[in-house]
Amino acid sequence: MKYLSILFLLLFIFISCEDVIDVDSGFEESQIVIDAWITNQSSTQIITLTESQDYFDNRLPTPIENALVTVTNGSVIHQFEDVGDGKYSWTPGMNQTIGDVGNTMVLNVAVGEKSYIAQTEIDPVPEIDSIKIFFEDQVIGVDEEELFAELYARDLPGVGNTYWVKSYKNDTLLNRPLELNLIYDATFEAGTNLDGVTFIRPLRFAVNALDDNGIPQSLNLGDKVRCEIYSISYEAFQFLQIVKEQATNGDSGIFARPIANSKGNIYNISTEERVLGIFNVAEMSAMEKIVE
Amino acid sequence: MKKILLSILLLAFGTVSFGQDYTVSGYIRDLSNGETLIGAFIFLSENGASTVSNEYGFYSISVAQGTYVLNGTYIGYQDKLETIVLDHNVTYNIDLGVDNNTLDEVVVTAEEVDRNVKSLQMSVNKLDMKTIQKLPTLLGETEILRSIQLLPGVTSVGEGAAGFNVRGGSIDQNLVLLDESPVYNSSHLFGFFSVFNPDAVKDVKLYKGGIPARYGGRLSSILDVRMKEGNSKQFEINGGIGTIFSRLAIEAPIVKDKSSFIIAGRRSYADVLAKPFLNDGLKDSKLNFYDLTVKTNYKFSEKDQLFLSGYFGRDNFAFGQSAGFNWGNKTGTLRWNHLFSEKLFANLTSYYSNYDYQLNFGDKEEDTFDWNARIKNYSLKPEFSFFVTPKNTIRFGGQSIYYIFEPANAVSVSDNIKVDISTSKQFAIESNLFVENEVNLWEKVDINYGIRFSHFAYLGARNVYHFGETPRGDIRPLTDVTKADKGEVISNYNNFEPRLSIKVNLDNNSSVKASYNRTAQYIHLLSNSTASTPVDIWTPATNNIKPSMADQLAIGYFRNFEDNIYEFSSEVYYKKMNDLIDYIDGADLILNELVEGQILDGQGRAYGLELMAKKTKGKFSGWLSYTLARSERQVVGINNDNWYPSRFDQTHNLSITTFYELNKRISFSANFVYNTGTPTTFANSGYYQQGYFIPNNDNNSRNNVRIPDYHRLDLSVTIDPKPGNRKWKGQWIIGIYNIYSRKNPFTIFFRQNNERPVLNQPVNTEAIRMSVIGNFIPSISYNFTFK
Repeated sequence: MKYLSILFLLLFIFISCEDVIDVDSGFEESQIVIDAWITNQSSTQIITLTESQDYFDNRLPTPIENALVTVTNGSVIHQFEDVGDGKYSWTPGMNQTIGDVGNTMVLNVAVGEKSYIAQTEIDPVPEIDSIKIFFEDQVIGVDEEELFAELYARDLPGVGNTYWVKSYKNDTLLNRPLELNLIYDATFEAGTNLDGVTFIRPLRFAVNALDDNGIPQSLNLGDKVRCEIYSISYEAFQFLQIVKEQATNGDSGIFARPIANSKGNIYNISTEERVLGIFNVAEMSAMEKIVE
Repeated sequence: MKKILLSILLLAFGTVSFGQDYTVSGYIRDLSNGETLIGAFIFLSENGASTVSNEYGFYSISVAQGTYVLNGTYIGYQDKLETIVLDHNVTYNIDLGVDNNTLDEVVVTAEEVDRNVKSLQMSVNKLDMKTIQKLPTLLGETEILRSIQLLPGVTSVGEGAAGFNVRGGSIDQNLVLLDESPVYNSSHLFGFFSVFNPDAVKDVKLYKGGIPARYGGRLSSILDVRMKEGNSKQFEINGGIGTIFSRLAIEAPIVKDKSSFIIAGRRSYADVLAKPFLNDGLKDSKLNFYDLTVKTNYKFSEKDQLFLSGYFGRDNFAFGQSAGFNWGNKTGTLRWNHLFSEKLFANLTSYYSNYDYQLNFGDKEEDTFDWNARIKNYSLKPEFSFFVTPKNTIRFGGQSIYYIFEPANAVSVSDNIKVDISTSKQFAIESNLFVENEVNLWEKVDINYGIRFSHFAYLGARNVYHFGETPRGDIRPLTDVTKADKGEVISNYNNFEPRLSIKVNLDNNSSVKASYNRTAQYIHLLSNSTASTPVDIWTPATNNIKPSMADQLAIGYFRNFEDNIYEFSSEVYYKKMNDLIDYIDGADLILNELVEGQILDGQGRAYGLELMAKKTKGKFSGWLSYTLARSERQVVGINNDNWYPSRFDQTHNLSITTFYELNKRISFSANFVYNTGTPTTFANSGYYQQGYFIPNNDNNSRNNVRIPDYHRLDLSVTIDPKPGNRKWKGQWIIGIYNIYSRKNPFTIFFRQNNERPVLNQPVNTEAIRMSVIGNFIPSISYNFTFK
């Protein structure tokens, strides 16, 4: 409930005060992190292996090299090539993709003695109807009538479709945690009977960039807006929901929720324990619009 | 069973003397305004037979035929002595005049002077409204809920948090009653101010333990707030202008000495102040809260009296036309006091209570979102007090509450398509029967024992959900849906709740008390944030959520010194709680039809030592309270299934409250509070995924780090009007809250740099200490009385 948190936030801005302090996080040892968010597009697909680090290290992660990474679709095994810096890539051939909607995909990763496995299915995405540019003056923190974008797309029929909308403004990915635009059917979360309709307004509006204070930034003539809808598994949806909630939890002030770990779908084969990260294979639909 | 019943009967009636007894009974009131006095002490000089007036100011003493001097006493009032010839049953109403010598003196105790030692009740705190009004406060607003936090065993998770925690219990374990009607959200502006208008409140009593059988429904405490009846002698206006609220209360007789009313209102004016700073689009913004408290009564005869009281309050927030949010309580109570005889007092209460909130977004018709939720209930509650002898009182009665829960009525219009995303309503009936007997067994021993039988039925019509098992901590999958018809019982719970309090007088100045109580709670507040928000919803026990149970044992030593000028009390308690609710990681508690599948159950334990020392009169008075305590939880699926401290656990909690009377007009007060920082959870590692930096708690621990200790000093000075019988009396209160500007942390959280993350550059992180109040806050308020 984004609007709700803004309401609460406004109230506490006036009276509360914040100071940066030094804290010992109590970090003990690093663990493997598998970043395997790939698509069935015809472009090069990359899986990244890194290590987790002290929360306060403020550095790029240590890459894990010399691992064996494969993605299996039925009987077809796609070998991902170690291209250094913890990155493993696979480029489809002409007219080839890694899989189709409905295919079950299996990820295998071997690092030294240890091996990891994950399984997922490719889900469908709806086409984007349009990106509309319109004038709006009722935006919290925005003074006058200004231009904003809205993404129009209709949720696919059937309960439980989950999507991740990535948006770009002038080719810059909107990658703030607050800009994570996650959609369950046409709304924020499961548990409602909303299904098969146009994404609800706050989600359509969430393709606009936010500034450092979380306030939507208006568009100017000539700006380019690009939206991509990715189908994600329910596990990946929940994973990102917690990422969004936890990465922005500080903004909730006194209404902060208890810390929760994102739960991945990748397991250590011998210990059967979850490791950090997600394996998701998405279908994607996209549209671009220039503000005129 | 028969034997037990027999011995209870024997105990209850064993002290009844069968000689010719007569009863003197009546009401005890304030002479100046006709308000009944709760907890006044009435005794007979000759034989020391004594009683305490009940919640309606009624007393009854039965003794052998004879001539007695009846004494009526209440702190701050002149004692009244009356010779009574008891050769028949006598009705005698006692009117006490205010003691002018102590009119402006701060008296930090109420009721009879040696109540600390002599009363059977332990683990009960009572604050006098006069005391509450003299305490230094945040922004100069007299605050009942913040005042009780200066008492031992009462804590809060932090400044601005709604509700309060009693002896390690969560905020929904307190039954907050306003004229017997439950108040489901006791806060204005999230948690800064409470819904109780000080102008309309007569009496505040908090039961933390030794809860008598007549009270129940929550695990940890009962906060019993009673409203004034309204001046039945003359017209009176009270009011005030403060930093936050303006208040006005009017009270007057309708028919002199038979009927009176009080109507008291408050309104905040933050929105008036904020208006010039809002731009055009937000011109229609609202930011205000108000409440209205009314009460009236009619005395048909000395035997029958009717009371009608109500509360209506609302918090309103709106940002332009695009977003609005408001919430509030409504309560209504109708009570009928009836005297069947001089010895049998009856009260029939019926109430209605409703808490609801509404949210709406969207100023364009094709895209809106409207959402409201409420908890509503109706109740009927007959209660009888049988004053057998001054040494033996029996109370019995029952109650039935019908609940309607509407967790979400929500309609979303998206691109002109309207979808109802409401979650279904829940219905329930909670009923109970109780009997308690307070008896003086031997000279030195008093005992109150009782039993409460409670029953809860979760009712249709609605869908009934059945969930499968998963590893604890994961969402439970829905396995079956069945339908329950209107009124059909879906699940049933029954509990016997035994209650016991014992007091042994060691000598005239000291006593030892012990108590045990079992309490059952059938409704829960679903809240997963550090401080509760107004959108948190209540849920009944269902076929998937069990009611919570608690057992509490407390033992205390009480002593007064120097003619009751100094009071000392010490108590230790242990409380065990079962079937408390908790939530899976990332649980979604609102607008979720299947929320029952995301709830975990766990257990809790709380134990501690509470010390309190009071100086009750003199130029210099006040109290010191100290609590050493622990509050822990254990939930399978959280903290690797181990015990962990609750979010409001405070090892040490100290408060010192002092009053100094410079002269008849000027008095000072100060309070100092200190408590151990509350525990919270830190992420210790982080990792990258798709460019996002994700915090992780490697050990899955909960509440493993403590935030720094809290301490604060507040001062205030009260300037009372010149003494004399003038029509208009004004009072100034000038105060400073947090005088040395301590930045008390509410929490410490981890934050990521709020600049846009850049590819191939690390996301910077930092730890933030968040203080709700980081500065000293001066305030000035003016109160007046016009008669």
